[in-house]
Amino acid sequence: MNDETQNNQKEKNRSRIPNYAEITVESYKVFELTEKFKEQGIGEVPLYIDVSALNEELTKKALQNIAQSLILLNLHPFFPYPLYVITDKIGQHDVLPIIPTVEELPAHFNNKIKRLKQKEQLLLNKVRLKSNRLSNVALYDKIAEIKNQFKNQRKILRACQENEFYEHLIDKLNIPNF
Amino acid sequence: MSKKKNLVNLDRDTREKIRGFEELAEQLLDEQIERGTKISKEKVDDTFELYQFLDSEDKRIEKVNRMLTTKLDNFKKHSQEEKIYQKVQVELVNTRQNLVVNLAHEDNNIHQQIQEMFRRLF
Repeated sequence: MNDETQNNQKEKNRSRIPNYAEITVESYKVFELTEKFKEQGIGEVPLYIDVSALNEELTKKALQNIAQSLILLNLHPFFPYPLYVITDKIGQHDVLPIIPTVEELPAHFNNKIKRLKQKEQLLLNKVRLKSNRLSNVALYDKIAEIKNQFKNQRKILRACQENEFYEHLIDKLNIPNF
Repeated sequence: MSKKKNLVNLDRDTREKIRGFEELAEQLLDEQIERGTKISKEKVDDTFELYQFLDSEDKRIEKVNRMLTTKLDNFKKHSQEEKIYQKVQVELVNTRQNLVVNLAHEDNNIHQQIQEMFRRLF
């Protein structure tokens, strides 16, 4: 896929309403996935990739390769627009959002495709500008930071729960604190 | 309201031509008007829906952007988690000590229950 075609696709994505589009791939090798993702413009519109035809073992490998390709391209599967993987073989994944069937995709991005009016086009341009700004953020680092914050807050939560349990026991002993 | 409300503005020749079919013409015109109103209403709703969606998208991306940049950085710079954790740990140690003291107390419920149990058994 040459640069001109990729640029054309990107230009096309920019003028589109963010609606679901499917990515179809012939093989799930990292190189081919990377090329396909570059061509489709991940993060510019909500996309989904259907791997439900694969068995469990191949699905795991495909997911691993998809995640690796995204990291190579420095694209995040959630922001600005998500890349969903359709499979019912695996419940969840560390990096990728998994949905069992196409019908269960979040309804937010199911819109009627129609010609935009001027004020809608202006709003869409604004949305594109903001989503591009979001794409420039080091998303993987930021998400890792958030997960790290989760750990600290869980530590506090566990300590609070333990404390509450002991206080409950003291109350049950029916002796005033001293 | 007059039944022939849609045919009032017709010229004389046209009225002559449809003589005897006024009711049918009236009904057809009514249906056309109704259909036209319905389509235009749908059009208005559609535009509103799309504009609303784009507006919500704008807000969503703005919020994500703010969370990942400004808020997260502020949170990291002025994190209070370590202090809160230390405070909770101190409270936890005190509560544990309090619990042990309470358990060792002769008047507590457990002691009373055990005493009662032994008294009944022997």
